[in-house]
Amino acid sequence: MAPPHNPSSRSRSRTKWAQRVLPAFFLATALAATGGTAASFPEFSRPYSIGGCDGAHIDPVGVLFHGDEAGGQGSLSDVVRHTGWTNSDGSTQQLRVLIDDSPLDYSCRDQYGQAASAGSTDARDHIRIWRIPFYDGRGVPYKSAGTPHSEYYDCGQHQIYDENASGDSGYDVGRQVLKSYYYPTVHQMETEYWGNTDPRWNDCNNYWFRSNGYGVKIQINTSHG
Amino acid sequence: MGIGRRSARLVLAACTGILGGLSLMLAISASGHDGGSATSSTLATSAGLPVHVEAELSGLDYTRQPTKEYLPCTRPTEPANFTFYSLGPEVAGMPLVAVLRDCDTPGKEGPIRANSVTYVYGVAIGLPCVDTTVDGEGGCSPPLSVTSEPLCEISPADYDFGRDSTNLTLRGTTGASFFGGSRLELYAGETSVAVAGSDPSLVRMAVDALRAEPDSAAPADPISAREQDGDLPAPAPGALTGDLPCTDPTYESGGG
Repeated sequence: MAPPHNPSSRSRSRTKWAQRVLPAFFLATALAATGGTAASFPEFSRPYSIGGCDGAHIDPVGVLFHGDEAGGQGSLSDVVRHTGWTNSDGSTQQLRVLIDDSPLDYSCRDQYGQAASAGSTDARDHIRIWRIPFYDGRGVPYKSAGTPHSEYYDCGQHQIYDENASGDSGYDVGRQVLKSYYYPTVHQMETEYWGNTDPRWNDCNNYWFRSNGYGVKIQINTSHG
Repeated sequence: MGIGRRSARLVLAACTGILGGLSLMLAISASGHDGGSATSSTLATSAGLPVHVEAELSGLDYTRQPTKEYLPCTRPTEPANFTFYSLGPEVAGMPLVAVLRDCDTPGKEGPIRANSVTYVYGVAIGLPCVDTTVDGEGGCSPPLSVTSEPLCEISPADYDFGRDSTNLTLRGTTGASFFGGSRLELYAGETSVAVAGSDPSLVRMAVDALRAEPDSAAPADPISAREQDGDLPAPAPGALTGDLPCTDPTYESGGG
């Protein structure tokens, strides 16, 4: 369960957060048998969401859904089905997504949707999802990208967590939590190093944070019963 | 091996002081498996400016010998065992606002770990960035950062996500462009140097200001206003293919 909203006690909130996510982290780590391979697929999006099409980088892309059912709605529905994240509150961000690969061409798009474990003023796990319109003609017709993260509420808006006791930021934990929900299932998962590690500054509580640069590919080929 | 270290991070925050002077605050924090205990002290820089150091160092292991794949972590207050680069105290009117020293446990999600020194440049002294509310989430991304990593731990052969072009020549050495030029990497000697930001033109401009910090300098040390003109060193043999073994120049093997 998400820790309670407590703007006046960030350290307490973070401690509970660490207690909550550490088991998920260890599970995801122990089960990441295919982890750590180099990326070998065509670029599908830019590495960070943006605030407006001319805006600065925001959240790192941490997941790629691919497969017959991995369009925008299929990916969003599958996330909700696996995680139980039924809350869809949150702001809208943009992402430049691949529309052609010769030459590479990206188009700025609004997110397709979002799913979260709690409401817009609560600590929660949260993911925004974008549909990738490019059809590569090589048997992987549908893709969607997502920016999973764990966040708390303070200073009137959501804040990505700083490093927990394992040295993982809210970006890393959000991805690991998502992976934990997908294991063990029929889905194939592959963890790769994507390198989107640019630092980000939290002005509410004055700390730096960033992703460790890993992303996960999740295959969604069949509808669940 | 049971490595007690998880990660170490140094943050150097610059802020305006009384009478408009510049004071520097250093915060070094690290967390270990055993919880760690906090220590703090105040140092003085060579310029006489106060430097406040906070550290949680219990459980950390900074003495283990290098393996073929990984260098031992060094403290933020001691020289790193690889050359690291900065853009000096400021670049294009943007001051240095933070220095981040990360050194993480290998193998948590894959073989590549964070072992880096990052210089972050902001919009003003004490202000890393301004776009804190446009996205409904707190925080913001600084306009420029420079991250140095040892090529023996991470080479361009390890990843290709978002790589626009390879075999660029930047500052006389091999480079590559990623993500539409919002990240330029240069491979200099045994170091991978990544200049990153939202504006590709700013990133490209910053490449010309790159300079190596002295081997004797620690990430926590203040940096002076000087320039390094000319070419950066060519990549070391094997550095671009993942075949460069990690050797720590400060590690003395044998002898007990």
